[in-house]
Amino acid sequence: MAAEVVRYLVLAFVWLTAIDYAIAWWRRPDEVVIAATLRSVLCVGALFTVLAPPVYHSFDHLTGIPNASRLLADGLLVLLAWAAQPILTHFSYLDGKRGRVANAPAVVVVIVVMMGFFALVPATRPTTGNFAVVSAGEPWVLEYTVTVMLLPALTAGRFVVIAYRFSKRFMDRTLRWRQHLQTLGWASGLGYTVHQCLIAGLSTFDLTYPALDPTVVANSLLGSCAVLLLSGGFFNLHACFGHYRAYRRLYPLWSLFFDGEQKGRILDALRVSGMYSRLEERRMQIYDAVVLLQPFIDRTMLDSSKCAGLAPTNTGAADAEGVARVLRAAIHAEKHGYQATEPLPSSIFPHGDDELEYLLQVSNSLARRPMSLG
Amino acid sequence: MFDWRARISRMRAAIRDSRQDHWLSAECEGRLREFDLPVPFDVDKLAFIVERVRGRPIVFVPWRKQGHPFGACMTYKDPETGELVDVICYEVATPRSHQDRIKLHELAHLMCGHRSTGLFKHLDTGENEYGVILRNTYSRPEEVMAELMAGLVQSNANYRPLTDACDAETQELVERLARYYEHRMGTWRRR
Repeated sequence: MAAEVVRYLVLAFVWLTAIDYAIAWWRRPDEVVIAATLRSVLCVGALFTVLAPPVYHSFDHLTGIPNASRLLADGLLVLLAWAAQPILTHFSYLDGKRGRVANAPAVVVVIVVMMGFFALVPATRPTTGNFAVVSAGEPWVLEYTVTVMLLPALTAGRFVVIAYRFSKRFMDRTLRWRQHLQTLGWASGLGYTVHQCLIAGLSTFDLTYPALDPTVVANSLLGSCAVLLLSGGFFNLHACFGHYRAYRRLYPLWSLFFDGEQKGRILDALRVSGMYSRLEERRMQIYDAVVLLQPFIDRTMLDSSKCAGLAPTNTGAADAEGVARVLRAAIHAEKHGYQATEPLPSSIFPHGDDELEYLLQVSNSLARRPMSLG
Repeated sequence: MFDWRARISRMRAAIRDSRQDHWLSAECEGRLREFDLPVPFDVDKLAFIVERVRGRPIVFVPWRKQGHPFGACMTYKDPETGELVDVICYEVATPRSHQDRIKLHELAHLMCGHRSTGLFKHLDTGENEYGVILRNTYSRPEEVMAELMAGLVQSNANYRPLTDACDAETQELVERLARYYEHRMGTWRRR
């Protein structure tokens, strides 16, 4: 039961990733690597779907050939390796042309040979389990398995080399972790292909499998390969959630200037680029508004907020609560047409890497004590 | 009483706007691909690239208008050399990221080859090369496009170096990987 749940969870995850990439491809249809990734993910999705018991048995029933679904799934695995070639070359070479592992005729030959070997394997009962395990010891199973796994193994191996080569190069911690996960994912994929050949080889030569259950090992390797490779979505979700939180936290400050009304359709256009763009856009709208408000911000107002114990920070700027008060007062001044006698010579916000953090502090001050700041 | 007709009408308008936005976004990305985005990102480096592509120097001039407009872009003829210079003015009394956005907005006008319209038109000499464009309103299509381009550049830019000191090829490949993970905009290479 638990194994079934895991199987369907992985399947759902793969299709959700396919949707994610389909959206990315729709936004940028001319991106070769995004299109190749989408094709690969679709192959993975189709592969896992074919291996789901209801689909597997239905396809077998339709074709009337026992384990025809297995042949289809293995064909999809070969297609997956072929679909991933543009990604491989994109991350291997700058010109994107050299070093192709496989081209279309080679894939066709592999599939034809694979079908030939499959036809030679004696018919076994239809099962969604591991074909190499179920048909262990049967003639032509080793040849069939090696033919199926050759191209995926070569592809996964090259990806492992690339992923490992660049994994230490990233200075950004998140990207480095993602690269490590990718390396591990490709290594799992490579492990799966080698493991399948190992099972078929051991049974052919009447040797004992060293672990308890080869099916569990194979499923673990395949599942972890799929989840780790497609796990970029988790990280994007994490980053997206962080940006969404910041975006929401800026709302009190933003609404101070815009009264909850969006400014034009710029935001709609930028929405297609994701949560980060929306956050950036909100930040820029706040800065735009503050620049417009600058003639109404009096230097004495800021000084008085400092004198009232709303102390200056070590960067020299008034602290967030003081700035919130000053902004509120400046809005009142603008409404009544009181120009500042001594306008502020520079920005009310500090420069530097912590600009967003400072804005969030100001916004928090407004949200925390909205009445006392008026 | 729930007004289905109004609701459907609003939905249709939203779909139409959305299509237009996607078209605009794709158009901006297409324009941006003609230029290499520097990594790590720096507005001055991008300005240098735009200079090279346009074959005309760009000069940034800080100003403190404290109100409208935040920035302006104009073409100026050097009286001594007779050389055309693109001058970009930007508000200085604002945080650096906002200054960068203003500069990018004006650079976007240059990248798109926009001509001056509206305010300050009286400063136009009538020749195509001369013009003044202000970043003070988003009502005109050129302004929307420039602002969208500036937003796209800023949200796709990596301000920190992705990798430590290594050869240019490795840097480029690492950059490709990073953009792939982040679903960021393409390779920024001229096609």
